[in-house]
Formats: sequence, structure tokens, C-alpha cells
Amino acid sequence: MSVNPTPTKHNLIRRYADFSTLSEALDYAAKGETGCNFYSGTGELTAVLPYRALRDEALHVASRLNGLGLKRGDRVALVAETHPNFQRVFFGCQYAGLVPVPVPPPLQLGGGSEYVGHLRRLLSDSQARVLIGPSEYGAFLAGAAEGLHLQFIGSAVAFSHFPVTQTADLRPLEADELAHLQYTSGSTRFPRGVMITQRAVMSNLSCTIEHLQMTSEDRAVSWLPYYHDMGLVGLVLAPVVSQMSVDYLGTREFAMRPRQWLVRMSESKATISFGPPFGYELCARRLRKDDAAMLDLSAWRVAGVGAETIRPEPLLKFAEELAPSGFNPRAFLPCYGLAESSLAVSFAPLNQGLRAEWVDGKHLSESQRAVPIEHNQKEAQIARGNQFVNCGKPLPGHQVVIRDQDGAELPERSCGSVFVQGPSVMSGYFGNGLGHPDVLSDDGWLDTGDIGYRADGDIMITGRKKDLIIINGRNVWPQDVEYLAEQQSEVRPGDASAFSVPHADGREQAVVVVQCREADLEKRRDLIDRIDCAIRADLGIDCIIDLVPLHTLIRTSSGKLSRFRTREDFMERSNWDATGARVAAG
Amino acid sequence: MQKFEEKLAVLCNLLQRHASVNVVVGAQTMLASDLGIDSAQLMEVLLEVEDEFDVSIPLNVLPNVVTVNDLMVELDKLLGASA
Repeated sequence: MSVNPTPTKHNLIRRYADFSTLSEALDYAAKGETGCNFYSGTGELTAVLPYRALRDEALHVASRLNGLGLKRGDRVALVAETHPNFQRVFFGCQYAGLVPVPVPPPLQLGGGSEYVGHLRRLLSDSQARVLIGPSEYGAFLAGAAEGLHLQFIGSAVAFSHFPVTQTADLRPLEADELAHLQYTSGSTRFPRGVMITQRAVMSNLSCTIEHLQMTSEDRAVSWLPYYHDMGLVGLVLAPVVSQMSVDYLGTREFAMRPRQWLVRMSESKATISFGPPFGYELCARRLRKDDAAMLDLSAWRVAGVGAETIRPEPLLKFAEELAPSGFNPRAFLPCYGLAESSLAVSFAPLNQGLRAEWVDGKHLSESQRAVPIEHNQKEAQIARGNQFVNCGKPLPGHQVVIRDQDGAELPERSCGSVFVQGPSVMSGYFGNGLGHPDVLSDDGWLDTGDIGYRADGDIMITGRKKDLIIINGRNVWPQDVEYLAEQQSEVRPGDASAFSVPHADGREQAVVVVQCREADLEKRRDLIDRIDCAIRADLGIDCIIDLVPLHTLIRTSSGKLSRFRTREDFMERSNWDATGARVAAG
Repeated sequence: MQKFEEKLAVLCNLLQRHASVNVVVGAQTMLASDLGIDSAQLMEVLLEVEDEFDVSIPLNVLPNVVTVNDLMVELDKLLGASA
């Protein structure tokens, strides 16, 4: 193993995502000296994987996959740990004509048994034929795959002992075939695999790289999970298609020692990194007194921010704390995107930092109009305004429109559903579509489920129509929270409704409203405790549990639970300020 | 060398300081659900546990750690290995 990380610069002429497939991109990257570097939580370089070696090893994996007798396009589930084996198998699938399905590793403390169920649902939904993951998780993998008749279950190391077939037989995935199946966007109970073709992901990468004005001087650092679209497409695939070196830090190592992100940026003189606002916030919170003086972040030119609602304050605090390290606040690059559109939909202009505008809260809630409050009315802004971060214009070749409930296109500064059309949009959800929302129209318009408005063509995201809770940059589906509440013997199916409300500081607070007939105070408290424990253990989040009498949950005319209206009712009952400015009652 | 019970007491004390709800931390306290802290805060607490015992906890042991006792058993293995 090399002892030095791969260089930032090399002599190979850079090509920027002008390939037709991912395997073709790796073929080219393998001609240079750049590649991936893996660091431990304490900052040691644990593995170096130049793209040249990655290509050789991926071809070996491919020839072994070939020997399994799988059909072209069959799915290979791959536990997405931040480890060179992920890239080896992911690209092995590309060369072998098989579709990789990145699945999360077990994340929660003590969450082993829930994980087995979750993984099993992913395997079933994707109809995976192979499951590859670290040997430490062998028992979980075997448990999850039991009875599913997979061709191979085990570690990449064990797989490397399989017989090799001739590499000449390999037929890599082609431009119109899938690049990967992305499971970020579904709940753990009801997974949804987003089908992304080679053409779609390459088009997204090409637009992204062009927007970032990448050069041969760039180097990236990432701690983002490989099973998430930003981590996978943005920080695993983008570096390969641009022959850029990248330094990885495991996600859990980051969660434990967030300062290592900055240490890595400083030591590598890295120029590009992305994260959810939560990542920046965690980092700023855990900085020690002398850190800023010791770090050199002056090379950091793109500090991408996305994946959850962007609030300016924690980012501004991050920039302020790290000003002594030479961090340039103009490096902040807000972006908007979703797995259903490969990754990115829009980026704010480069080198401009955060641009946010205040709009009148009253107009917004009453007429869904975003009326700006001028800069010179600071008090009015804070008293009755909502602040939204500008996420820029759609990527070239992509269109975004805002529509009302009836599908009519809305003018500028009117809030409505955000629709996207363009070459990055998914082909659909995998499988027979049972229970999958109908989000893609025949003419290729994707209903993102987000609410927003346009101003001078720029996109501002104001909320969500889709039932999704985002906490600490992680998607939490209300169905999963409701399921946990309904597992209690006092609660029947359909008696729980989950959603999020804005916290006093703008973060999301999960809430589950639960109907129960229990009147005894002691027993009610016990029920709340049990639901709280289940949610913490399974999802690792803090959730308000609101017990209400039967028939409190609001249903639509067709009898379905309306989380939206239950949420409005909860906010009114508990005196929760809609702007999130103040919480009256806990 | 410290006895298991003594080390357990040190661990309980440390966790007690981080509990955000009214709980008396003991061997059977469940880490993810009984301390009233979310998964991000829990990682911060584990870092402190590492510092206190001067070990590095391999993250792949975590899925099987449910109670404080489970964690102490893992720590003890690590301490034994380094002794």
C-alpha cells in the first residue's frame, strides 16, 4: 500500500464528465495518478486507492461477478461503508453490467435487530441477487437475506476468492442502462429505489462540475455517507468523472470527531467539500479554543450546503468562528436537489456566499405570495418575516416551474409545488410501483414534493408538501415514526400521525400525535415513555409525543389521515408559532 | 487493575452527567433511549467515554450495544486487549 495520499495535480489532461458511462470515466481516470484516500477518526491515512488501482480491482470484481451467472441488469446490494471496498464493488458492477444498490450500514447504537428488518426490505424491494458488506456485519447480512435465495452473501474479501472468468467477456453498463439504484428517498418501512441511468447521472455531474468551475487544482474532502445521493453522486462519482483526488472520513467518525473534517481540509489544502447545514453546525459547536488559529482553510473555495432546509445563522456562525483560519464566507454554495433528479437541481452562483431574503410572513401564509421586506426594515424583518436562502437557477438544460394545486403554472413570487424537468430526472421508482407516489408525469415533469417560489428566476424553497421530516440532515419518514407508536398495545393502526414543526431556532422538531382512550395519568405517562424509547432507539431522534382523545386526528374526505391538517391542529392547540419564532408551550 | 464494577461505576457517572432526563444511570440503562439524548449527542458522549478509558471504540461494535453494561463489556475487552 502506498504511504502517501494521491496527489492533487497530475499530468493527465482533465476531462469533465464528457463520458457516456461511469466505467468509461474510470477507464480514463485510471490513466492518471489521482484517486481516493481514506482517513481514520484520529487522522491517520488508512488506505490509498488510486483510480488506476481501482480500475484493476474493479475489473477483478467484475469478472468474479460474471461467474455468478447473473442476468444483465441484476441488482447487487452493497453495504455503503466509507471503505475502498465500496468503490471496488460499485465499479465492479459497472464493468459487469450489473446495477449496484448502495444500502446503509447499521447506524444506530443497539439498532442491530431493526437494521436486519430494514436491510431485508431493501433486498426484497430491489430484488437483489447479491449482498456484499463487511464481515463484521456478517450476522446481520445473513439474517436480512435469509430465505431470499441470493447468489452470494458476504464480504468483498470473501468474494475475492471466487473464481475469475475472462475479462474479455465483460460488457459494461451502457448509457441508457441504470448507473445505480438509490434508496435515499424512501422510508425504512416503505423503501423507494430511485432509478438513475448512466445518461442522467452523467448529465447531472457535467452540469455540476461546470458550475463549480473545476480545475486541475481542485481536491475534495468528504465525510458524507456513500448511500446518500450527495455522498455518492457528489463526492464519489464526481471526483471519478473529473479525475480529482478526494480524501474520505467515515460518517460516524465525523459524528464523533467533527473537527477532523476541518483538519483534513487544512492538511490537504482541499478546495471542495459539501455537507448539510447540520454538519457545519456540529463542527462549529465542537471547535476548541485554539483550533481556528491552527487550521488553514484559505484554499476552501466551494463549501456546498444542501440536503435540508438551509438556515443562515449556523452557517454564519461557522464562518465567523473560522475566519482566523482564512475561511471565506463567499465559499458557501447553497444548492437544491433530490435523489429523484440524480442529485442537484440548482446551485447559487459561485463565489457569492449565502444570499437570503426576508419575506412578509402574513402575505406568505394568507396569499402564498413572497413579498420581500426591505433591508432598511430590520425590525419588521425579524418581527414578521420569514427568511429564505436563494438556491440559484436551475442547471443548464433543466427547467423548474412552480405550480398551484390544480397544476397551473404560477408567476414569480407565488409559492407552490416545485416541478423539475430535464436530463437528470430519474426514470421512475424501481419495482411494480405499488404504494409508490405518482410523481413523474408522462412528459417528464417531476413533482419534487417541495414548496417554493421563484424570484428573478432564482429558486427559494419554503417548505414541503411531501410528508418528510428532516433532522440533522437525515430523512425521517412519518410512516416510520407512526409505525413505532402503533406497535404499543394501546395504539391501533391509524391512530398515530407524525410530522415536523419548526423549532424555536428554525430546526425541525418531530411530533407524533397519538389517539388513545387511556385516562389514567400514570398509564398515559408510561405509554409516552415507551413510544419515546422506541423512537429514540430506532430512529435516534427527539420527538414530541402528544396523546389525544379518539377521533382527534383529522381525515380527508376519502378517510385518509391528513398529516398536514393534524399538524395545523397541533400547532393551534399547543400555541406553536408558525414562523417558529417562539414556542409557547412545550 | 480496576475491577469491572469500579469501571462500570465510572462509566455510569460519566453518562449520568449527560442524561437530559430524570434517570438514574445503571448497568441496565439503555443508551439510545433512556438518556434523553439524540444520536448526534450520543456520539459526542462516546468520544468522552473513549477519552475517559483511553481506548478507541471500533464503530462496528455499536449495533450490538444496547445497555450501559453492554458498552462496559466492550470497553473491558478493549482494555484487556491493550493491557
